[in-house]
Amino acid sequence: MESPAWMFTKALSHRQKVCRLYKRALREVDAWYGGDMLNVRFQKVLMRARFDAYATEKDPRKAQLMLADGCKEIWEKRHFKPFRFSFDPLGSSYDREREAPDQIVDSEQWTLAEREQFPYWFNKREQRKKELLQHWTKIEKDWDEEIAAIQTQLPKEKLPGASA
Amino acid sequence: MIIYIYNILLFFIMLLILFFFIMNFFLFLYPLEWLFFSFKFNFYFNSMIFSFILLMVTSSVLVFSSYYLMGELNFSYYLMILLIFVLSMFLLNYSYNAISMLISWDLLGISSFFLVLFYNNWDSCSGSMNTVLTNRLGDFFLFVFFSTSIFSGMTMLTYSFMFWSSLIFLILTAFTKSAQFPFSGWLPKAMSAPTPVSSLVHSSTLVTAGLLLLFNFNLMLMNSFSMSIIFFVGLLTTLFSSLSALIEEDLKKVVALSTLSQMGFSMMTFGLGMYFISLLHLLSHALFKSCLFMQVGYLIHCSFGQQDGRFYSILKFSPIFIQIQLLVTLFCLCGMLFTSGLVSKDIILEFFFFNKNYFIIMLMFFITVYLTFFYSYRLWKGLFNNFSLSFMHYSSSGLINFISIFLCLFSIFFIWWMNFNLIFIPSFFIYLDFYVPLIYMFLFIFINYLLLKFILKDMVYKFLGDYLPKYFTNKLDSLKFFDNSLFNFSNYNISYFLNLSNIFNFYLYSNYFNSVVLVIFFLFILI
Repeated sequence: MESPAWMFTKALSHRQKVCRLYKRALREVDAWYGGDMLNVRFQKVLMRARFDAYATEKDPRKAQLMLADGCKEIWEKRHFKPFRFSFDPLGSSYDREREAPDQIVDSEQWTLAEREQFPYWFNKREQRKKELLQHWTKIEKDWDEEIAAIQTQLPKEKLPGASA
Repeated sequence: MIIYIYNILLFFIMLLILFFFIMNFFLFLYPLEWLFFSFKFNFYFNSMIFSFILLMVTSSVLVFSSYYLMGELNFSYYLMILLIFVLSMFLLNYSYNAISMLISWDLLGISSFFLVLFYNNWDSCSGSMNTVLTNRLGDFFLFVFFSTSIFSGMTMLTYSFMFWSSLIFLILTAFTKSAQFPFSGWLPKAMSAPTPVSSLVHSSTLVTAGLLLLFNFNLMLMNSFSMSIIFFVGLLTTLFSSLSALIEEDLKKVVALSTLSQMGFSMMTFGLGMYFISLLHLLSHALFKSCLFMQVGYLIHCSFGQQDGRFYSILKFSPIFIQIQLLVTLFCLCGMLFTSGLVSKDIILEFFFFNKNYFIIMLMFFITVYLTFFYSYRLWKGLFNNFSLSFMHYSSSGLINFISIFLCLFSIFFIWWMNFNLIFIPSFFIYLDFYVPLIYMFLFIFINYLLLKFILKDMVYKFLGDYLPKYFTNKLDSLKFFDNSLFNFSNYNISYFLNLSNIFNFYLYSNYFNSVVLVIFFLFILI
């Protein structure tokens, strides 16, 4: 499969979906009413009241439809520039400091005299490189087993009224 | 090491102050004069003042950047580019020739590109591409302008080649650099630069370079066509950026848009013919805008890089020092009494109303002047709207609390003194024009709004809760956002009737811009 959508697909219960929607709704309230904490808290209480009004709904079809309505509403009412924490993706200070790759240490710029100042670090590095090479075949085998363990056969559909 | 730098800076400052008091001083310095291949400088009063202010701002920004970028591995790289930028700005200031202007202009654009590109993340890369491409377009226009003058003397004092087609390129290049109306996209996006860069580059130097170019060519530009273009574009810029600053959530973008607003104001003043007063407004603005950037940058650094202004009030961010300084700086911005902004803004307002203009221009101007107050208040409120005061708070350096005191005091008192002495107008005639009572009309509307807000609280539910939904549910499929502000428990309720713009959704499929369409529609009806 080319698309990694299978990694993000999971069977969620209704409760989980509602909770995710609730969190998203609160984040949208943050975005729209942000700046005035009093109003933010008030609007969040109203949102909670809206969710609590139908929390004890017994009919699963009605609950599903209300969830779909909620998702549609959140899509239509999303903010043009939602609040993001600064170190998160799309935040203001995301990805400012990046680590340099380890391979620069192996280059010729690090002369022998400089390497000898840090014997423990470099020796441990050589040791870990050797272990990784030995371990590599095992890693590949684990990956193959994991992919093979993913279900490829759909379970047999049980018709209502059929005996087990 | 830093003491040596300060020694040199003090020396230059003293030298400049000496030349301040001699208004008739000018020095034409021609290192090279080979017709086309010349390299000329002019040291005179306007340049001296500007470089004085530039030195103040640069020294403050250096100290501030040593605080903001402490622990940064590429600090020497940043300093190098910053110094190249400062050098090119000084070159532009004193240059009196096409080639020296071109060189410094290009260097400005390129060094600002590298400064915005300092953090190599996606935002910085996109913002820097925006900046450099727009600036490059301006370089192209400048080059075309100087190419049209190739058969005359390449000085600033010739009239022999004045076709309007060459002037339009000059005007366009000033517009791109100063981020005026069609080219103002790059300035908010360049806020992904580190804050010291913003406080130097995007407040006082890069965006004033376009205006400096116009000042140098002011003899050529004193014709009705160019002046009307400059005036109208400046007015549009200041209006649109003030409007955007009301909606923008990012602190630095709000400050950038206020910079843009004041730049448009200066451009408008230039379009009225008052180039020296425009320069004075530029100077006072440079001081308190970089001051404002530094204060905002301090708050941003204390919250570990959070630029979004929506959650500042919960962090108990009210160290009383920085709060007061921010307030004073914002007062200067608005042109409040006894601050520096008053001197230039007041005179500009007065001279604006000496002319007969269309109603819409007067209206736009008034709205803009009021909007500076509104977005300044919004900026201040969003940061300090909590009900507890703390004496001190987390900061990696306590000194920076006080850094902007110097600039604040300086900008208030020095600019006041300087402008008072420079503008030798013996008497002011308070010229009551037809449109002056508009001020009182707006005041009347504002006070009535405050009163009616309390008187009509019960009508909010009766009208919006009972009548309106019943009426509209018979006509429409949805009223998506009107229930958002039904129960608004805040002190800035203004959207009772703005939400009604979605009744036009039947024809216009948008929930965000219909109010603007409504306003423009009514304006056209009035005209």
